[in-house]
Amino acid sequence: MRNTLKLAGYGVALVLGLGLGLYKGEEYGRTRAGIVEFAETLRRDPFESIVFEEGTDEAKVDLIRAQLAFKDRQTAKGAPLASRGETDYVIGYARLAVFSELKGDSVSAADYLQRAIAHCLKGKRKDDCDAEKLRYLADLIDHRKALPEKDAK
Amino acid sequence: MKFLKTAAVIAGYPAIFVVGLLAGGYVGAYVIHGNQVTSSSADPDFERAAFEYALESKDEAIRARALNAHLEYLNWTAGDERSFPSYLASDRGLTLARLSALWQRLGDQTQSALYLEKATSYCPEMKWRHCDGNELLINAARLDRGAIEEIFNKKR
Repeated sequence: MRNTLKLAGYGVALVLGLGLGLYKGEEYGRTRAGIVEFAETLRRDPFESIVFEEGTDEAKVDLIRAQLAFKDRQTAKGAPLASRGETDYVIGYARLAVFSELKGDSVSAADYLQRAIAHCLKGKRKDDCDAEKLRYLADLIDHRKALPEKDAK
Repeated sequence: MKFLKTAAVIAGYPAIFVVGLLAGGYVGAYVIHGNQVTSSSADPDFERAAFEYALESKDEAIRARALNAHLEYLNWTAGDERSFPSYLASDRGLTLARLSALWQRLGDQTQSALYLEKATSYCPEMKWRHCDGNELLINAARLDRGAIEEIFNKKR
């Protein structure tokens, strides 16, 4: 009887320890992965904004493809800070479609537009998924159109 | 004797608790998040993050080492998202321009000129609208200011 009690006590201690350890350890691991990701973002961000400002359309196409590949990799490894939303893909593919169209490559433009729409339909704003709206968004981001004037109230 | 035995049994509980704590902590931190970051130096993501910390350093020697390590790192990123040609060339060009600015600060004109020449040699691949030594140095200075300053007090 006393032996059984003793063993049960050890079992309870082990389970409590494991539980608390898992909880705290998971928190630590997540924070650590987040810090690594943050350091990476801190360096990429100014670099990419320089390429965006200084680059020609060709450089911007490479930049967008690099950003999408980066997002794919982040999503694949379940990075804690990466957004799970579809917005990056929608905007990225919409911009790629416009760049292809400007270059005169209508086949890949249509392909990119299809992908943008497919990602858009997976997201939350399903009403805004037509080609025209995506095109407008891409034009705004790449400074082909001025930002709309604010409505006077 | 009986007293010692009881003490051993009582001490056993916290001991087993600590064993569980360590095992759980290990699983939580390194098994669950192991694919996101590992402490192995062979992990490219971790290596990269380490460079990126060093690049923000105020010590010129550490910066120079980190910039050179970054250049070396870019040589074996094939297949990585950095392997898009103009993206990679821009990264190399800007890193070399930062090294040029660094040697300028340290007062070594020959090294500075050498690195700037190497940096501008990437210009055709970088596909920028204007690309010359001056343009590269201006943007290298933006990177040298550090990300946080660049984001919060944007001066152009």
